[in-house]
Order: sequence, then structure tokens, then C-alpha cells
Amino acid sequence: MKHARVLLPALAIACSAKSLTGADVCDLIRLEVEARVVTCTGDKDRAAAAVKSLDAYTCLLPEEDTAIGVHGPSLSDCLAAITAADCDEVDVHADRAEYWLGLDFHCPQYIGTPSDTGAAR
Amino acid sequence: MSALLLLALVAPASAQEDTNSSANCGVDKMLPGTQQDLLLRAATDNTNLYGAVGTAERKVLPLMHAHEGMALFSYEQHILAGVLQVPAQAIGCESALIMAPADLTSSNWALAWSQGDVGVFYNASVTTAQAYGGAPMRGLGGFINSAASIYYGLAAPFFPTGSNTYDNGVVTWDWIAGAEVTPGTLAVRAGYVGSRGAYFQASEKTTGGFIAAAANQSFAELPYLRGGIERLRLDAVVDVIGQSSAYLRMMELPGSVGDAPSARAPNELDTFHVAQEGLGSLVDVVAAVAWKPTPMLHDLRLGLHTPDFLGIDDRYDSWQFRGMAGIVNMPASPLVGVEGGVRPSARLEAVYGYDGSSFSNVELSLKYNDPEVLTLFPYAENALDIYMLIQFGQE
Repeated sequence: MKHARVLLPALAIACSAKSLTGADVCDLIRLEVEARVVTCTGDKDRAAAAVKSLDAYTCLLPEEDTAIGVHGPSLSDCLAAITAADCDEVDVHADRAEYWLGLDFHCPQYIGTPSDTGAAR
Repeated sequence: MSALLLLALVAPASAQEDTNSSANCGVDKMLPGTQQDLLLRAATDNTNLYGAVGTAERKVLPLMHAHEGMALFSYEQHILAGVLQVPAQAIGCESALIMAPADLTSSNWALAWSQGDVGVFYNASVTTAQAYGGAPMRGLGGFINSAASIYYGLAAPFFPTGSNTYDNGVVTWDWIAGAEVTPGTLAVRAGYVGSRGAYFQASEKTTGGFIAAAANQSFAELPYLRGGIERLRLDAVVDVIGQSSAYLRMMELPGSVGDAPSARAPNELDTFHVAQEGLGSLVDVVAAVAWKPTPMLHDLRLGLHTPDFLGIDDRYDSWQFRGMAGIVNMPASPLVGVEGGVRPSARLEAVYGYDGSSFSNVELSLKYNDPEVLTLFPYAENALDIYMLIQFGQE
């Protein structure tokens, strides 16, 4: 019984969702860019170059902060814009971070320069 | 037992408000992107392979062939827990943005009857692909899906088939009804699938030779094709060398997800499988090599089982057990973000059987990184496959 009191909550935590931190959200955006480039071009090297171009910009969300839910709806718009990026355009601009950040008004809230509008303020 | 587990999970969680393991932590809406698209595709694959058609082929038709003149009831429950993680907006959790674990489930109810060389079969299924917040809701969700399937199973042909997509997943209803003729040792089956697909299978009883094809909902593609010899039993030496299997399988790996007008052609995973099961009535060796997309050892596992584990005919009112472990090697699937590589694989199985004028068959299993599962769902790395089958029949 004593073991059950310890094991079952541990099992519940292990089987539950994980909170996304600020750093996770920025990684999520990078992964979606990588996935979109692979889908459109089939080229893993170009996908890696696209992610690298984004690395030149700063993640504007507090790294370990999980209280980032307020950005949920606009994050949804940002991810939707990346997922729907036109493949012909992606083929031309895949490794330009400016292209990805310019896809939707909301994306620069998450990755950009500290002077960008959005979450950093 | 499962109710107790659920209560134990809910009780401590309910005392802690807004944690990710609390009962009220749920998915409000999945975020768009690759993971959501993958889950929707997984839902379709789950329905095609573990839904009504899959269960009919794997669990109903073989039993019809084994018992000439019989009535059969069959219930199957399958859960692939943690098939992938989906980013989602959450409610009632410690954070409003979570990576939500997603589970695939299928619940199947089947009836079959045969007399002489003819028989008929019916199978209804409810399959789901859902993302969850807290663990208690995962358990409760699986239970509700299973319970709800009873009502659908009773009258599936009178209700619309198809899928409903919700903010946290997909639910699909489907059924198959068909007939078989079994002249001699040959069996030929054809079925109509409620979601407007077709099914055909032919097998030979002595050698275990077979060919099977399942059309998907639009008749447009064949999700798998395989053929070969499965479990050849040479009676003179079966106690020493066991049963031999060898077959080829051609499987299309997942292609790109999302809107891509000139989508990349997906890779194929083409494999040759050999198995020697029941060496000395105890040991199993299973291996598979792939030649496409790249030559490699795909599967190598060693199993140990109780003497009467193999074959329902050999079990006489007793539980039998098998443990199997080894490695599985998957090719990279860059279109779905899977790097591939070697992973440990393990499974535990328990079976009960009774064979007489009335017969029964119970199968329970836990599978971790199982080659069959990873081939169908390459992104389901480290997922746990939970399976239960209960069958009763009378000759």
C-alpha cells in the first residue's frame, strides 16, 4: 500500500502531458520549419540550413518559463503559416530566416531580435 | 482492477489543482503542424489495419478455417499508448501549452458462423486517435471508447460509417460483412466494408500459404501486400524443430504530411521474414532482413515460451506464456522526422485456450518497440502496445 502511494502518482506523472517551456516553443517552430522544407524539397541539408538560419535569431520567450499559454492562439497561427508555406516559395527561400519570420505577423513574437514586437516586451 | 487503478490515479491527482497529472487536465485544441497531421494519418492507418478488416483477417477468419461448422463470438481491444506527442493548448493543466501524449485504440466485436464449405462473418469496430492531458483521462478515455463500441457493434450496418474529427482527435466507425467458401484445404473470402472498401483473402490450410489485400476507404490504395508460407508444420519433426515461417512483405512507409502539391514519394520498407518457432517446444528465433530502402538486418529476436504456447490446437484448458526480446532496426523516415536506427524490442504474451466441441481463445500481450508496430507507425518509438482478445465458439 505504501509503495502504491508512491508508484501510482509517479505513474500518473509519467503518463501525463509535459508542459512546454519558452525554449520548447522556439524549438517547436524550428522543427516545423525543418519539416516543411523536407516536405517541399525532400532535401535534409536544406532543412538543416533553414534551422541554422533561424539560430541567428533569439528566442524571445523566457527559456524555462511554462506560463506561456497566453501566446497559444497566436502560436497556432504561426505554426499554421509555416505548415501552409507555399512549396514554390520554400524552394527559393528555404534557408532565409527572414522568409520564415515574415510568413505571419505572429511568428516574430517568438523568434526574432530583441527589438521585435511581441512577447519580449 | 483497472477501476481501482483509475481511482488511485484520480484520487491523488484531484487533490492537486491544475497539475499535468490531474484528472481535469485536458486538451483544448491541438496546435497545427506536423505532429497533428501525423496523428490524423495514424488514425487512418489504425482504422485500416486494426479496425474491422484487420481483426477479421487476423483473428476471425483463421479460426473459421480451423473449425469447420461453428459459431464464434470475438472481442478485441487494442491500445497503442504514446504513439506520438502533439503540441496542444490545454485546460486545467499547470501550463496552457503542453506536449500531449496521443494514443491509438481499436475495439472490435465479431460474429462468425460456418457450416460445411460455406460461412459468413461480421465484424464492427470503433477506432480512435486521441491526445490527452492527464493520465487519469487517458485511462478513462480508453474505457469509454471500449464501452461505447458495444452499442455500435450491435447494429453497425444501420448507422453511418466514417470519421468524426474533434479538437483532441478522431473517432472512426466501420464494419465488414462477408462470406467464405472452403473447398478442400483452400479458403476464399470476400467481404464488403461499410466504409465502401472491399476485402479479399485466399489461404491454403496445409502449407499456411496465403495472399491478402485490404483496400482502404476509397479503393484507392493497398496499404500492405504480403505473401508466403506462415507456420508450416511438418508433423514428423514438429516437436524438435517447431514451426517454420517465411514470407515477403512490401510496406509503404509514411510519406510527407501537410499540404504539398508535389509531395515526395515515400520510401518502401520491403522485408523478408523467417521464423523458427518452438525449437525443442520452447525456443523461438525470429529474423527479418530488408533490401529496400537500404539493405539491413531489420529484426532479430529470441523468445522463450511454455511448451503449449504455439497454436490454439495444442492448448488444453491452460494458460501459456511467452517472453521475447531482441532488436529492431528501422530505416530513416525523414518525411516524418524519424531518424531510424537500432532500438531494443520486447514483448510479453499470455494465452489461454480450450479446444473441444466448445472452444475458447484468450490472448493478452504487452509489446515495446515491436517490429510490426514500428513498421506501421515508424514515429511510435518507445510506445507501448497493449492488446486483449477474447473468443468463444461452439462446433
